[in-house]
Amino acid sequence: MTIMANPTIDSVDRDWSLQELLPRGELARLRQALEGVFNGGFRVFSAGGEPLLEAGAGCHDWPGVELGSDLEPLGYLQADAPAGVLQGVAGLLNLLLQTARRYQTAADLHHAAMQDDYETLQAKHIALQASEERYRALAADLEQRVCEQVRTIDQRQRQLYQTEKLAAVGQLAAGVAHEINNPIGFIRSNLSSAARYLAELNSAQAEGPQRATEELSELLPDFSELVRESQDGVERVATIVGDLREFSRVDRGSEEVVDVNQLVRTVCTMTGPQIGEDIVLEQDLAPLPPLRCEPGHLSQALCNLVLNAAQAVGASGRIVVRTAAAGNEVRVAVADDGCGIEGAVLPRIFEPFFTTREVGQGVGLGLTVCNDVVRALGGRIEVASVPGDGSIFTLHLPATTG
Amino acid sequence: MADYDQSQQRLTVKLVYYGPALSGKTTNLLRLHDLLHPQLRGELMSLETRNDRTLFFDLLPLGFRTPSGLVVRLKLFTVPGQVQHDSTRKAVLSRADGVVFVADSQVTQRINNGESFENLAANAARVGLAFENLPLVVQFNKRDLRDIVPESEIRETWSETPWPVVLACAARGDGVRETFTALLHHAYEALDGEFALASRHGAERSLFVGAVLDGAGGSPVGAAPCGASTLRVR
Repeated sequence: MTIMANPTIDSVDRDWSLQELLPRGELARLRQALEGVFNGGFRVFSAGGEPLLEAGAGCHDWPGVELGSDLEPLGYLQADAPAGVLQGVAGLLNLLLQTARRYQTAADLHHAAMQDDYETLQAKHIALQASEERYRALAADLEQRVCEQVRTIDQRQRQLYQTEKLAAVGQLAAGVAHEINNPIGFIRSNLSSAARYLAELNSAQAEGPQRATEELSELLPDFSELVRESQDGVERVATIVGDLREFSRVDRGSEEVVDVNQLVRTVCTMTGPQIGEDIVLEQDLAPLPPLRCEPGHLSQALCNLVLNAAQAVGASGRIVVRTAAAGNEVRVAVADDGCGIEGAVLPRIFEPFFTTREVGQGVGLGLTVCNDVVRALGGRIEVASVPGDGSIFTLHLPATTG
Repeated sequence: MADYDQSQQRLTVKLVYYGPALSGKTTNLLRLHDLLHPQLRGELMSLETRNDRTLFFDLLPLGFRTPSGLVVRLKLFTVPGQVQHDSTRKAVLSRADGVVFVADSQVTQRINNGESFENLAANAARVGLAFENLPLVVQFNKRDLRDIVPESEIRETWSETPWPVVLACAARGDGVRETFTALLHHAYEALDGEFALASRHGAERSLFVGAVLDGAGGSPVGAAPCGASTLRVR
């Protein structure tokens, strides 16, 4: 039933023997003191009869007294001395013994308590270590889970980018189709006119050279005009197709040294058809140093800024794309006189999926993509906006050196 | 856990006065020391600080000899009540055969009493004592003071428990003997069960309790020492 983890705890209960209470090192001094009192000799022995201090001979007849103040004597003192002296010395010895007992008991108990406190501390220490270990494992596990989550989110985001890009391409395609349809319309009409002229020439030739010459001189100016007009149209189509090709290099993923002004022109051409008829899209281009970048990415970023501006101005307004070289920097600013951005919203506009537009008007990645592209080039975007007056997005891009 | 030494015909029993700081544990031992017959008790050993607070413990040894010659020694301990001396309390409580829980009756000491009692239960478990089987008497001390918990409330609170409650004023000596008597009755059951005190040593309960308190039925321990047969003890 009893658990004795620590044997020193026993010492609280233990009985001390006379030998234990009379310290070995003090025995000589004690003997000296007793010899001074008892000239005729004395004897101190334990309860078990073991002699501890002796002087003189013939002790058997000496009177004796008990030592110790407990129920049972710890030992005895015998001496050739009057009873009063014997009692007095025994009283002093008892004081000595009692003090020694108090001291030894207290020392043992103190040791036991310290040991117990130490063991408690150690147990706590071990428990703490175990809990620290658990937290470490948990932290490692958490880190791994966070990594997985980040991977998943990254993947989703990439998918969304792709979707957004496809949507942009779809929008673009609609605009481009319209743009191409126009020249094709009049080229087709011109070609059918040309075919009719040829038929008329044919029948005139059949009526004789005179008639053919008359007809030819009558049709020729118109025919030339018609061909020139068609050539113009084809040229326009070719330009659009060229721009489209430029723009479709989005995924080519290779860096080139480009003229940013050229990219701006292309972007304006491509986005022009998509924005409202009453929106003026102006370009104000200054000579620029060459810039090394992935042109597709930068085009997309510029395109997003222009479309964003178009959405900000609404039905009618003015958008200016301005380029400038400043120091070792290429600056492209897209300014609009649209609705502007509320101060509370401003810090959040580059956050993914943050949008103030209605559902179906974009998922809120346009400016995010823009920011990512610019940061990948080592540049930054500055935004200045006055609600109600418009916004200016300025791209600061480090020019290619060497 | 009582210690029985068959060769020496000696049974040592440990009884502990437990309780919050300054509830009167040492005072109980002092009064008991005064109450008991000088031949039945040893000297009270106190280990206290200068301001009279118990630092380690107090020890009062008692004892008698049964008719069969068995020496029964009782060691009465107090523990230090201050919260921070928990390890000392644990060491003193270790192997106890019975406990007096000395509570302070003052209304302001309610929480201290409760905490100390919980500490007793917890430490009993730590030193391997089965608390529900431990002979225990609860004493509500300092009944002479004002602003004390009324007796009716104490009785009602403790009526559900298996432990006897004694009201005391140890400073005046009231209830000290009653408390100790109640503990002796309780502790006897367990000791008799284990050491066959009645059947083997002729120590019935009444003799046992009477011998400790008044020397009735028993005789003083003081024995002739071996190896000192020629000694003339004065």
